[in-house]
Amino acid sequence: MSVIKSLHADLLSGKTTARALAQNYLDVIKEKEQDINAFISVDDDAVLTHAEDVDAKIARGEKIDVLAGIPGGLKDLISVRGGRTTAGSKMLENFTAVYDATVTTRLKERDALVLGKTNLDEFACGGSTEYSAFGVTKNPHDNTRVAGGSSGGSAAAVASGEVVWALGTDTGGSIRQPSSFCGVVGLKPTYGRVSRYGVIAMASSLDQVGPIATTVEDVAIILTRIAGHDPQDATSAHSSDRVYEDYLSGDIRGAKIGIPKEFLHSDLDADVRRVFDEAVARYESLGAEIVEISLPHTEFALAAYYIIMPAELSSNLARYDGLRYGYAIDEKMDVQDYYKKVRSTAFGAEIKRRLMLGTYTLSAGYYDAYYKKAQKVRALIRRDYEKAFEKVDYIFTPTAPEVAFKIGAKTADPLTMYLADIFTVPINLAGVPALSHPIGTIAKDGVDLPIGGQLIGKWFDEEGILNAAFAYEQQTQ
Amino acid sequence: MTQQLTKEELHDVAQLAQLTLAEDEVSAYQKDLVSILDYFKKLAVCDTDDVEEIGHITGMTNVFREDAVVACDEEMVEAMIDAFPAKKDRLISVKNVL
Repeated sequence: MSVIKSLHADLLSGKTTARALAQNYLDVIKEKEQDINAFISVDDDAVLTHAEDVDAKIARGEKIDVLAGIPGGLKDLISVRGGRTTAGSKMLENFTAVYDATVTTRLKERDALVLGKTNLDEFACGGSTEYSAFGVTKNPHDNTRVAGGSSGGSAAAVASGEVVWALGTDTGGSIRQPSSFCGVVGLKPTYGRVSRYGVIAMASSLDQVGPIATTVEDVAIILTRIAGHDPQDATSAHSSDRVYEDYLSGDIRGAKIGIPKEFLHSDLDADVRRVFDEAVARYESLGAEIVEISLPHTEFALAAYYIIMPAELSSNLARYDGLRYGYAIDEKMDVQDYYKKVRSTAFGAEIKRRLMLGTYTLSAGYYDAYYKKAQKVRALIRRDYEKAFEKVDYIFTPTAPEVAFKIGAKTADPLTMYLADIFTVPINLAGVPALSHPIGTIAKDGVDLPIGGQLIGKWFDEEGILNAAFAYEQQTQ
Repeated sequence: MTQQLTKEELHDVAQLAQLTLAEDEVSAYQKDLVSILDYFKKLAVCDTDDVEEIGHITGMTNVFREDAVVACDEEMVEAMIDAFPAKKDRLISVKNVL
């Protein structure tokens, strides 16, 4: 059952008010933040004022959207005019956004209640939210473990009940992997489905904004409200607007679901494999036909991704020069020294690592061997998915090779951290939509930790994967 | 593809990325980058001889719009100017270029 619809009904019937609802969730945030650290900023007064506006509209009998007054959070990479937007970085610690991101505008038009900005790895670079300048976000199921990343704050805020919904961004798995680790539903739309305008850029050919919530229907409701063409984002797609929640019939009889053999190699964690196999059986019991498929270039995806992403990142982050906004130093010096001092002081170690990596692979003499090669591999990966989708409607894999890991377990070795993205990055390279939904738990140290399954769809077939995941969810409830 | 990355090369890359590395950071970054570049060797066995590199993933090509100036509101302009770390009136004050 959609939490958003249920709360909306309570607002309309007078069972609760937007103000009371906002206060309840703000209280939960106060109670849990010490343990979770999902938020970078929360503005209680602005939230309550906005909630009162929603109540006034209801009192006047105005028609309100289903999302009006429903508490949510935005990853702190998404601009909200007049509010602090940090990207999880010291570079933007005191930066106030001067305009709204398009997704922010669209949510504001519906009176969605944004309680605050959620924590993330610095500039969305990381898979654990340990690389934030504002502290680590902890997994609500076990505070000694990571929430995943880079949208760890958004996933943890939803999972801990601090908000009903949240927006994240996903460049290589940053919505799906934390959703898997926290036991919630998260969707990365098709590249271009949701506007990136006003969302601080990480790797522009891969970045997408998407929703996180506890139910598939809630994710669909949010997607409907943020998707659609935006002239402000030249890469935004001219796809027809859809009301995604209307596609949730729960019937997937006859649908073909492909299981790519390359994702299930012998060294996959045995517990993950067991839970995944059970999930496949459940899809089969719902009337789907399970087909083994091959995505032969999967093994090259991670290497291609870790060439393309840092290259684009190094170009996007060149704008942080300490002159126009952001971190600055009040010292007399030559401009080149100034850039270096500002950037070396305000960027964290993982950002510097990726900036140097991207600069290296784009530099003269290396461009063909790295960036161009990676773009060719990307073309092959896309072709794999095109061929697979001639045979099947959806592709199903585990979202991550493991459950949430311990805080600190992977920070010493960047490559180990990168390998945590192995199941999610091929999807960004191909540009297809994919969602993670809970498929079970695995007990570690006496705690049942959630794990997600990744359902991948054809380009612009978000409604297909949402409906399949909805069917699955209905059966497990 | 050569995977050796000397300290001098690392300093050059840092310079191009507008970063300065402290001496105690150099070895750690060198080790990390060498191990990552080494991982990229995987791609050597992927045959891409007849493959065109990808442009835009969903096949978009040129996106045109009318070449018209769209003004932003004065409040936004003021907010941008407010964000300048150093300024004189409505102008950014930059560091010495020469």
